Amino acid sequence: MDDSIPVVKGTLDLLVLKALMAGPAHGFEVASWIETHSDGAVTFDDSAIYHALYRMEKRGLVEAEWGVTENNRRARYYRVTRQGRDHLAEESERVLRFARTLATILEVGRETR
Amino acid sequence: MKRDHRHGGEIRPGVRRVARPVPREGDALAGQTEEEIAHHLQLRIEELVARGWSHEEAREEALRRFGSIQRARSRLLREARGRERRMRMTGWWEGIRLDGRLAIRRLVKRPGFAVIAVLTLALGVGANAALFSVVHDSLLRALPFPRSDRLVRVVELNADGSRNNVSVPNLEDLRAGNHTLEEVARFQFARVRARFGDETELLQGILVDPGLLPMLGRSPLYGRFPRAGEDHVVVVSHRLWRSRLGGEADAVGRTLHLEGEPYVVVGVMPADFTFTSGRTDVWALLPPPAAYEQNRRVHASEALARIREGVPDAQVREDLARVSANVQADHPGEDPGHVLEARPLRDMITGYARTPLLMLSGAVLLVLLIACANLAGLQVARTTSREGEMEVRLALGARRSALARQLLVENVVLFAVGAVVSVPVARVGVAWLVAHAPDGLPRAAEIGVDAGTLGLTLACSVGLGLLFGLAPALHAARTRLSGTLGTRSDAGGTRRGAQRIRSALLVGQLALSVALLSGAGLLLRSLWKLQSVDPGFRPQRLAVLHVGLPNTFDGDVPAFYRRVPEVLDALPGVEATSATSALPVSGGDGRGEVSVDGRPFDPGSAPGATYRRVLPDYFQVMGIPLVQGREFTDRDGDGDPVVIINATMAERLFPDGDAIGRRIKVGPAATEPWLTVVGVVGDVRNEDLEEVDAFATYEPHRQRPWTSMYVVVRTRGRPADALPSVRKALLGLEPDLYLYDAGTMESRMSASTASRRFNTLLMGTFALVALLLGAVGMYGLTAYSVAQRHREIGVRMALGATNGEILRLIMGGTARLLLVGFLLGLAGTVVTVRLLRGLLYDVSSFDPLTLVGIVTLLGGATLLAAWLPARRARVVQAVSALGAE
Repeated sequence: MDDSIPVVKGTLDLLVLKALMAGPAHGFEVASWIETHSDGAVTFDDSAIYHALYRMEKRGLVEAEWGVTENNRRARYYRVTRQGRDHLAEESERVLRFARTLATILEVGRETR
Repeated sequence: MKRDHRHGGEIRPGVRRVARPVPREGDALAGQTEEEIAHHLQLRIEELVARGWSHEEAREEALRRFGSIQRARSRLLREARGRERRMRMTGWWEGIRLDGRLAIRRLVKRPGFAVIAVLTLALGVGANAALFSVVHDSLLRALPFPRSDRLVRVVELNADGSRNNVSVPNLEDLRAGNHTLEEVARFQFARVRARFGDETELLQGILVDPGLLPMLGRSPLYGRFPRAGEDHVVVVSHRLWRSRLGGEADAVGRTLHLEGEPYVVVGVMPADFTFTSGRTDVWALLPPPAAYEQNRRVHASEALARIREGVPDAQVREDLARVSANVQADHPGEDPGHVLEARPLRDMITGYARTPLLMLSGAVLLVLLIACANLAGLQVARTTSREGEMEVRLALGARRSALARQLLVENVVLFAVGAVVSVPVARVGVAWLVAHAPDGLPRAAEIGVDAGTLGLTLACSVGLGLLFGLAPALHAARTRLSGTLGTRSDAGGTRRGAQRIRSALLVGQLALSVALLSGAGLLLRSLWKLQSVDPGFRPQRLAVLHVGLPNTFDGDVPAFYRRVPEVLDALPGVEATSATSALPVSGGDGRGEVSVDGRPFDPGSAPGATYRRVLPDYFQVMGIPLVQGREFTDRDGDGDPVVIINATMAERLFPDGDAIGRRIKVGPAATEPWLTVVGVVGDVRNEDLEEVDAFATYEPHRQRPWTSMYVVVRTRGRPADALPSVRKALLGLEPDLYLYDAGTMESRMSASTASRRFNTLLMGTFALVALLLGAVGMYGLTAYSVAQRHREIGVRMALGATNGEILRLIMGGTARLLLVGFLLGLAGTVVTVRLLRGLLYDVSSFDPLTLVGIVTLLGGATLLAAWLPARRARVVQAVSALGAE
């Protein structure tokens, strides 16, 4: 269904949720936020952001409604639900633990050399 | 999610559709997705242009970064559709949940209604679950044997189609000649006297072929089955093991004293093990058939068989018919007209309880239906009184379907609570039925309320809740906007509609009540008639006791029994004593074919008669009137054999009144001696209270002495008080006597109708509940109708109507409902009566007294229930009614 590997797909969801923790935002703002905070290191199609948003909206992790931007244009604003906040907390904990474990294991080889 | 909206004051997603004029949901979603993508691309281009890109390059870059728009579009749309679906589901569920909470709050707010409704339901549903459990476990469920559908009882049919036991030679021919049976095993019932210390207990035993118990496919709980050739070993029942053998595994190997001989217990059977309808205490091996049993005319054995795997029933029937035909052809005239037949074992075990159990189940189902109709009526009334609320909600934009759903949910909640409360009711009900059913329920050890029954009950309740909630729900859905909000004075069609629904429900209730009441009434009348039947003797102050000489007794039996009255008559409190081989109203009489000297009957048309051996003075002690001739004396038995016959027999055989001095035989003409009739006595209900027109014969005990007799003692005081001293005096005569089955004649007679009383009691209770529910329904309907017609009544009174006229107005409606319900009920009674026919005694199906009773009872109760509220209508003051507007 998706080209990206599952970890990346789940990770993108987390990034999007994290971006929305700052407050309601539309898709472009989410994309910009992630670009800014990753210094461009994470790359993905912009459409993936929307896919993540839609997917999470279906699961009830985010909710959306139409609003108006500063430039007086109609845009869909997304916000994190309580369920989304819980999901973010749990999943980021899991991913961080995974990353730390991975890091520890990879460090082992370097120390012995 | 919802909370966020409320606090943020934002628009709920679902409402969006309403806010934006869009033709179709699919298009709307596509449009929104399109708009979102376009917006994104626009912003990206603007961003890039701001960073110095040319517009053309920025556009290309934005599209490149976005990825395939085509693919994104279809994916996003798919997600969006899923989201909408989920949202609709959530909304629906939330609606239901909200309705559920609302329903509970409403019920709690009016606890009176809720409590009545829940209790009614709990009783109705609980009673149904209880009876269903019993019916299921004792009648419907497969017997606890592997492949139990292959097990059959083999019986012989007489020429007239009635059932008979089988003869040993026929059984042997069947065993050798059949092609469809895996195994055929013979058994016989045997009552055995067992000694436990100085107590005697009469045990119900079954003697079996060695192959019978293994054939059933169950293993003993402890120990093993008796092996072929083993002697003096028994397998005991779970009950006997618990009550007499300590209930431990070490019971195997212990010794029982049966009929004075030691038997070693080799096995203990599980609690649910039985292949007959009655209680069984011990199973032992059959002795080889006695010489007299090697006769096709002696039908003294029972048989069980297992059908071969895969053989259809029809083939078994043919096979047995073929074997029977061969027997008849090979042995013509030996036992003409008898046919072997196989009957399902389950039917043989449970047959006796089928009719009463199904009757009670039907009755309890009717009660449940009545209860439901009653509740539905109450609900309609409540709905009507909530019309105002409904209309306001409709005006505020609530959908009719939502209102209807709310009412449905309310009903389902009510029924669900009722179902939960019904669980303990069902458990208690089953326990009570098992403990109190007088004849015992078939397979009682297996009966219990299981998860399946409870699940079914719950499902039934919720289903009924939906069904009976439908009427008020539909009614609510039809509520019109105009009525209540405009002016309350004209209730319009909805109220009349509601009244009609309630009236219809009430008529239904009344009709069902009539059917139930007539059933109960007929049973009651039967019982009443039966209990006022003259049994032909005086059962008052009569103590009875079974006396048995041990097999080791080597004295003179007649001499022993001659001394019994001498010793007992000397006791204080004893008026007179005698003895008989079989008590009246107790069943199980011996029978034989009658021959009359000088007047042979046509072959096959000889009447049968019961026979008893009695001590002198039996008729006097029992209070059986002597019609002609004389009673027996001490000298009878010395000379020519004599007999006393009953009045019916004398009238039928000797219509000229010349019975005395004639000679008859009872039993096989070839071997029995001629007996001279010396007396005629009044008819006695010997077999049971329902017996009429039976021939009975009595012979002096000395003429053919039996070792065991029932001693009957006419006492001066309470008969039970005399029993201890009687027992002591008898043991003084012979210390090894078996004494058991002691009691009073009255309690024995009462026991003979216990089963009928039990059925009648339950049926009567159900009918009374139905009556009560009907009356409550009528009360509610009338009270409501009076309240509704408050204004009309006021106007009528203002125009000069009298109190009597108003009362007649209200009661007229009631009477009409009653009449319709009653007529419909009479139609239902035809069905009830057909179902009950086998249980009635001496009562015609349309017993006038019963019908009058029902009319009085039901009419009285419902009219009273209507009159109470109707009376209130009279005190309506014209002024108050009109001024209320």
